[in-house]
Amino acid sequence: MSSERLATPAHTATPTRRGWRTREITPQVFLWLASAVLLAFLLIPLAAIFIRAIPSGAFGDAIGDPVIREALILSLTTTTLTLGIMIVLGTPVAWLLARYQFRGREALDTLLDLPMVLPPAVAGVALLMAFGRRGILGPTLSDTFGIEIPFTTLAVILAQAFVATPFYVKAAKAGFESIDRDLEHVASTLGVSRLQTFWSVTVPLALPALLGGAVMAWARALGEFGATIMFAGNFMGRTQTMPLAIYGTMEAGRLNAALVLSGILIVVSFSVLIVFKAIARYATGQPSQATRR
Amino acid sequence: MLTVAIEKQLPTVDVAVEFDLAGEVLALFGPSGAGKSMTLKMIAGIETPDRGTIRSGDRLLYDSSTGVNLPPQRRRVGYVPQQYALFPHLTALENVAFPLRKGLRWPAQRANQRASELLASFGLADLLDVHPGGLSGGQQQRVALARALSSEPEILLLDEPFAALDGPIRVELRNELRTIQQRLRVPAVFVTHDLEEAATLANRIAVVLDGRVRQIGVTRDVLDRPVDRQVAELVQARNIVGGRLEQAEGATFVATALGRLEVGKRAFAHGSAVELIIRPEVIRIVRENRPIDRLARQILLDGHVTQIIDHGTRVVIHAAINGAALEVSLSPSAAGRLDIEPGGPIRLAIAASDIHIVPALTPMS
Repeated sequence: MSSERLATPAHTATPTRRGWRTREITPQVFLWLASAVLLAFLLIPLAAIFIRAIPSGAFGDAIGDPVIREALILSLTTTTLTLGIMIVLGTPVAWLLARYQFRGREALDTLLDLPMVLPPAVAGVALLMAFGRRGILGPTLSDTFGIEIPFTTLAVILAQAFVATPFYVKAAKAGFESIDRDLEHVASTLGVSRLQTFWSVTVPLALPALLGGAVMAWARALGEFGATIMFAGNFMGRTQTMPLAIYGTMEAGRLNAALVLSGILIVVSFSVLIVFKAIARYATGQPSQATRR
Repeated sequence: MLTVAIEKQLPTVDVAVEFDLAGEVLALFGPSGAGKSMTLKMIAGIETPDRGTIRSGDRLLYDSSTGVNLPPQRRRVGYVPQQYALFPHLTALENVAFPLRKGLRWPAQRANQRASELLASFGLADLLDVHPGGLSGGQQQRVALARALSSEPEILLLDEPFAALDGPIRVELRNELRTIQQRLRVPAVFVTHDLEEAATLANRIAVVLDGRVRQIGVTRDVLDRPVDRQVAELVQARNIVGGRLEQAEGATFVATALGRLEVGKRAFAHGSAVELIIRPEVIRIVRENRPIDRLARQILLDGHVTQIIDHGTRVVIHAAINGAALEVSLSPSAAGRLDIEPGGPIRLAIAASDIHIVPALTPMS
């Protein structure tokens, strides 16, 4: 009742029925039209992949295709390792940013935002300039330790970690910040060590944020293309992850393989979003930390 | 025995507090922003003072001169913050068992046994498996207390224990908390800005203003004999009258808006500016036919009634004496026996010894 009245203030201003009706309906039509056009624009290309791939039997053929198999395995292993590195190194950084005031805190925070807005090609060049043969660290690594990073699987992981880590660190930082400091303070007065408190209070409470961040970061790593192709190259079984394999198969005129890889990535991305939204809903549905009366 | 003498500079106030307590309840009472909560946090070890000493019995918790600063884990101080800070992902039972399991590393069964006993003694036996979100404010408070007590602290620190509650439940829980404290005999310090809370729960009150303990003492003493006008206003003293003190003819007089009052012999310098604090309960109303000679040693004041307000348990009569206002508090039955009405005349009697005199605050202090 009241919301209806609020939504149509013109009703009181214009006396005739006809008057307000024409005025109200025109913008509504536009809203629906705009939404329909945009929705179609986003949906049709995605659907087109399946419309082309399924009738041609591309998915069936793909089972024996070594390019697709190798790309799948490489993508899964590299993104999993990347995720592990992100969690091990990113969680302490997120904690530091959420809990400590120090010089350069703002700078560190901004630096972490940078890979999110930076074109991946720039990240590729940057990694080459650091670890490449002509990079500032590359020759030392190669001569002293015998480590060659560019165009190896390790380079794939570094490229993924470079572009994806901020997604995890940002989410984890927000998660840690949302936790009432009094919970940790009280735990300390109860004789519980800081590490113990971190594991049994902070992590469980920040878990939705940590998981959400990890899922988004993993998805970003999975889709990584620009930095990888520049820093790691496109070698089957070694650096050719799924996005690179799509590019490679298209180049080679093997449309069906590209369609299958794209289809898999669409399904995975869609699943990631569903999982992320489920986590977010679970987090907001949890009993709030604030006192309920 | 807890002894505290600490200083800490905050952006808004410089805290420099000193007090002690032994087997009793001390209220840190004062307006918000006076540094009370910070003081509790420094005792708990959550915040570090700039300098000073905190001692619990023979244990030194903090001492800036020797560099001692025990972490909160080793202070044996139970701390209950304003919103109780229950762990929202744990049940009531798990919350109370938390210090036993994670702090003392008891096996789960023993910890749960002890926690459920504690919760049962707080009347929460039915709510063991409920998460904090499903508990009422009062239940949350009791779980928080049980949790603080399960680690057997030597001192209990409560920050505004009733601020998150409203209305009747506040009074109920106040009485409950007093019972619990008396049963357990844990010395407790609690922070409040509510005078009634301080008066009903504490044996002693420390009035904290601008980061300083301005007065500390037995609750009744602080309420009846505040040290200065600011403290008097904080403890809601009603009749505060300024005046100039005169020493003459072997007696002490104070020239006030009420008139020149003889207040017995007082050790103040002649000519000093003072404030008289006259509690509404000590003022008597003289009935018209009362022979004056029986009131020989009393100060008599004549004026008229401006208002009569019935507060239910007390009746407060507002009187104007030579243009100055005084409040008189009576029981409803005593008020019923009087023949007074707004606008009518009234004669008041005050024993000189019932007038509390404090030096007036100079603008410097």
